[in-house]
Amino acid sequence: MAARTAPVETKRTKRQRAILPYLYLLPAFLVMSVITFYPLIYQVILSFTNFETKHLMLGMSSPDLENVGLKNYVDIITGGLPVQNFEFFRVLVYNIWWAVSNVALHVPAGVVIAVLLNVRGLWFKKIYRAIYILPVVVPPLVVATVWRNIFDEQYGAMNQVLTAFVGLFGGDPVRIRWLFEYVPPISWLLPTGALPLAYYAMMIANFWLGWPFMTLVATGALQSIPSDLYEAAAIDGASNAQQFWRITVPLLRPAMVPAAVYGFTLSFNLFNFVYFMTGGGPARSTEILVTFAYDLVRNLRLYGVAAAFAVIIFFVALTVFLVTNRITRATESYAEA
Amino acid sequence: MRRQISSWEQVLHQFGLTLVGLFVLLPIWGMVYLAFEGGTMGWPSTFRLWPEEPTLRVFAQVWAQASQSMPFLALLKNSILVSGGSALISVALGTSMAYAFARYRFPGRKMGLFTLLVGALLPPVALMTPLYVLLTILKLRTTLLGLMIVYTAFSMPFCVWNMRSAFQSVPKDLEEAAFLDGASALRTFWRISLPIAIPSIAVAALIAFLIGYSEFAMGWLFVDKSANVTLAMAISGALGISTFSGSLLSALAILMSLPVVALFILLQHYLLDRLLFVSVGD
Repeated sequence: MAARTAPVETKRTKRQRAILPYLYLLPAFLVMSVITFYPLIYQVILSFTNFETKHLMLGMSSPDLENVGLKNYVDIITGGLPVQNFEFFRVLVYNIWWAVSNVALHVPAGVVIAVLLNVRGLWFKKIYRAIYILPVVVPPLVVATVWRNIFDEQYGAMNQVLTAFVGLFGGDPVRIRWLFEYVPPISWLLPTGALPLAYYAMMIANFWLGWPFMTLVATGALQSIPSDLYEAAAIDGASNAQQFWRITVPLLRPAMVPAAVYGFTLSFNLFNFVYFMTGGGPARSTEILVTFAYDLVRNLRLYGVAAAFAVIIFFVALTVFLVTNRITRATESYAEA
Repeated sequence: MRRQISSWEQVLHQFGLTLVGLFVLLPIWGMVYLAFEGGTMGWPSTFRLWPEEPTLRVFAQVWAQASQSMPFLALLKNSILVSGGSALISVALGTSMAYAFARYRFPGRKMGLFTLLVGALLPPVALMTPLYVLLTILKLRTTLLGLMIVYTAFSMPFCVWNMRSAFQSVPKDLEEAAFLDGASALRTFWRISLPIAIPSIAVAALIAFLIGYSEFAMGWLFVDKSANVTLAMAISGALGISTFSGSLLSALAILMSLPVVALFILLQHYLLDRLLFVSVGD
């Protein structure tokens, strides 16, 4: 507000103006201090202790609470936890791969479908739009229920349809354990641990959930591309494919990069969906960081370890934010050009 | 907008888009099918495209008793109270903070923004244990108010962060003009900036509402009184019980989605514009 030139500035109004922003901050700050920041600091202190179920009633004032130093952190990273099938770096790599592979599917599909939709004189355009918005609107919890049904081993639509298809050639009923089969279909895909069948099933389900948002963003951006560009290109003899790669793709990039970054963070922390589809199983092979943190509290009841894990998640999230923020910034200048 | 398409292109596009439409609709149809099929236990054992005898029986059952003797409307009321309450608190208290971060330069601003970001980046699980202890001490743990506080803790930093960008997009000239005309700073905020930012603030509130509306995992940690269960919790709970029925789960899921879908369709054009910050018109 430096550019603002107030008529007369007395000492008193000057002081008032210096205090003003803090007054604006006060209401939210008071509430957040109690319910967000205080718990945050509490959590950090907790991460250096052996906090267990018996301490839940008294909290920090429990007499037998011990300071264990960095033990919780070391245990998490070196695999010293009394938890089966958990290796920190495998889960971390899986989590990153999960988010990256999702976005890598959603963005191109979203763009292609937006391009198909975005032509003059297309019939039923409104109907398509109304249908395509459904996955964005339905609560994610419901989506997870729907897809869990579909991948059910005995009665799910996936196996039923496959059975009907195989039956045409006289085959046996298909009983694929989509969400619980432990033996991975492709054993070499990730160096830190092969991807189970459940990963592919979840990719399909999350694809259903994720692409419409990308189409929405792409449609908005497509409509701001002036049609003269295409007309000029057509006159110069550019083919459809050339127009797509030389005009559409570069002009969509400024809108799609932030959308992709947003999609990445969303998939990275997709707690409800993953928890509901597989609960991180089989044998923690589809576990992501947030579902494991939840398990630490809900079932394993290792509160001190969970606190340390939360601190680690925070640093991972911060790193992801800083990296993606840099990517978004790098494209900003492009958007203005 | 691209040029007019030829008729064989029309056919090609229609074919592709119909396939996509089927991909979207079939799972939803599966859910609707299950709900109207009306099975009492487990899943149906044969696969059909259309229920043999469509029935509203399961809907009636869910309406009367969605979870442990709680009727559907009672659960819906809990859900709306908890998620609506947390959205309202986040927005009502957060608006002025968002404005301060968007418009003023003051000592501690950078630090404040960073702390806010920390809060927004944290996944909800990170606050579970401290909130549990805190709410237990306050004797609020298993109440609706307690759950509202928990959801507010998750959604507030995120809301403030969103609203900040809403205020940043309010043209500065307007505020300066008001100020030069002699309006006080508070008046400028109240009469100029706030009305312009209201639509984006409403979207922030809606997102906060949706976060609470479909949250169940934290809910189950805090609430152990069946009268204070929310809809999302009831759905996730329905999977674990011995009298589980696919029809029941589907009916519940449909009933839960209806209010949200209706709201979204009503506000569609308005919402999409704000959500994407670009015009989606046709």
